[in-house]
Amino acid sequence: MKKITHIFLLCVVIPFSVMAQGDYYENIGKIYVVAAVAAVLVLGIGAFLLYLDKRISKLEKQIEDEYGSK
Amino acid sequence: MKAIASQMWWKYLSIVILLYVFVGGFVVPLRPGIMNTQPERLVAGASHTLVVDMYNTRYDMGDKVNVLVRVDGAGYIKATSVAVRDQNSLEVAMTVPRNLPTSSGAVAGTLIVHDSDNGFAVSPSAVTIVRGDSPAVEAVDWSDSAGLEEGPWKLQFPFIGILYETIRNTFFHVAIWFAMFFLMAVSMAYSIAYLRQSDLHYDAVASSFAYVAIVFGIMGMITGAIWAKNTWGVYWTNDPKLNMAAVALIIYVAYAILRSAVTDPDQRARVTAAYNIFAVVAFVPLVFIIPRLTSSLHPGNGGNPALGGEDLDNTLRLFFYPAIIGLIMAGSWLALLMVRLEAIKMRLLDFKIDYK
Repeated sequence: MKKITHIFLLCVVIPFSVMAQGDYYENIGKIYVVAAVAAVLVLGIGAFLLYLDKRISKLEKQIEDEYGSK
Repeated sequence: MKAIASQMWWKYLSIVILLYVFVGGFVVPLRPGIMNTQPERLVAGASHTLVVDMYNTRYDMGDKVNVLVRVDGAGYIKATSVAVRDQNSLEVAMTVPRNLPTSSGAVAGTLIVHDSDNGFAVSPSAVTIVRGDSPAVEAVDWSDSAGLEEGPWKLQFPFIGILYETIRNTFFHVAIWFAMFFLMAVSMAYSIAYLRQSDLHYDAVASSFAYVAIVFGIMGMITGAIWAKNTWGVYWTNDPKLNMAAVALIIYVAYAILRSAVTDPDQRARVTAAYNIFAVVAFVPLVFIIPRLTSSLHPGNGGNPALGGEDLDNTLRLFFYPAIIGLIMAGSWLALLMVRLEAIKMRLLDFKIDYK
């Protein structure tokens, strides 16, 4: 659970720091905002994959405990 | 459905589509637009020198530039000379006619910048023309037509003031909400299927799609907050669309909590299937109807249409619709991975392994 919280924090911190790369007034085109928004999508899907990975590892371990490793 | 779910081609296709959206969404340029005009106040019957700052232009490449001011009910003022200051800036000289179309003191003028390569850049109400009593340097009259042609079609996204490059967020922020709603609809369909046939497989599908929809909804909210900060100036406002979307998402988070609260698989499936149907039924009026009945800052609502006109033109559609399809496919893929996980879990239960 702690790990998932960390992943979630990354999902928030990285996009916002990407957004902060361009000075607000200097960055008239606001392309950094688009980069930050796209980063949220990539990280969100990535976080979900990590969550699935964790659950599968847990299952694998359980099967191993029951039947022994191959 | 099971036949498609076990095939791989659409999973590869979703990666290709999303790659197309991410690359195309970033590299397609924005149409040139007018950023700023100085001075904004012109006096009728006087000569003026305007400095026009442009976005995404290359005037140093030597295109011929025409500048016009259009006043509704009167006609066009043509610039007497246009000098290029740098690649994004013009110095425009024009003489304003003495006679204004209305009896009031001031009229708004639309600034139009045209070059043969890029066509028109338009900024409505960029200048205000006020009555003056200084005698005209030379007698000029309104022109009846602009006499200019539209430039060749190019793959360019529309330029909209205050949005600028963030119009590209349509492919990410808007598309992820659309995909989320599709996943919720699938989830509800499988909840109904569970209630009809009491097959735990349907319950696994329904819950997996709902979980992915929650993740998509959270992503939609974070992307929306980032976009709002850079266009409205705040991360969150008390706007009906935003608040209702938050309420709808909380209903789905409550669904996840309800699932973890009930331990018996059959009982959990029955209770949450019924809840899931009510969640979608609550979602539609909250997000689609109530914000349209009131006025909202968010596009697509009362007095603020989206998905039409300049907000979604054909070049945006080239990436917006694939973005929705790609995210739906990717979301379904994630959900189906979860379904397979649930299936393994259920088989382990059959083998009397106590899965925690």
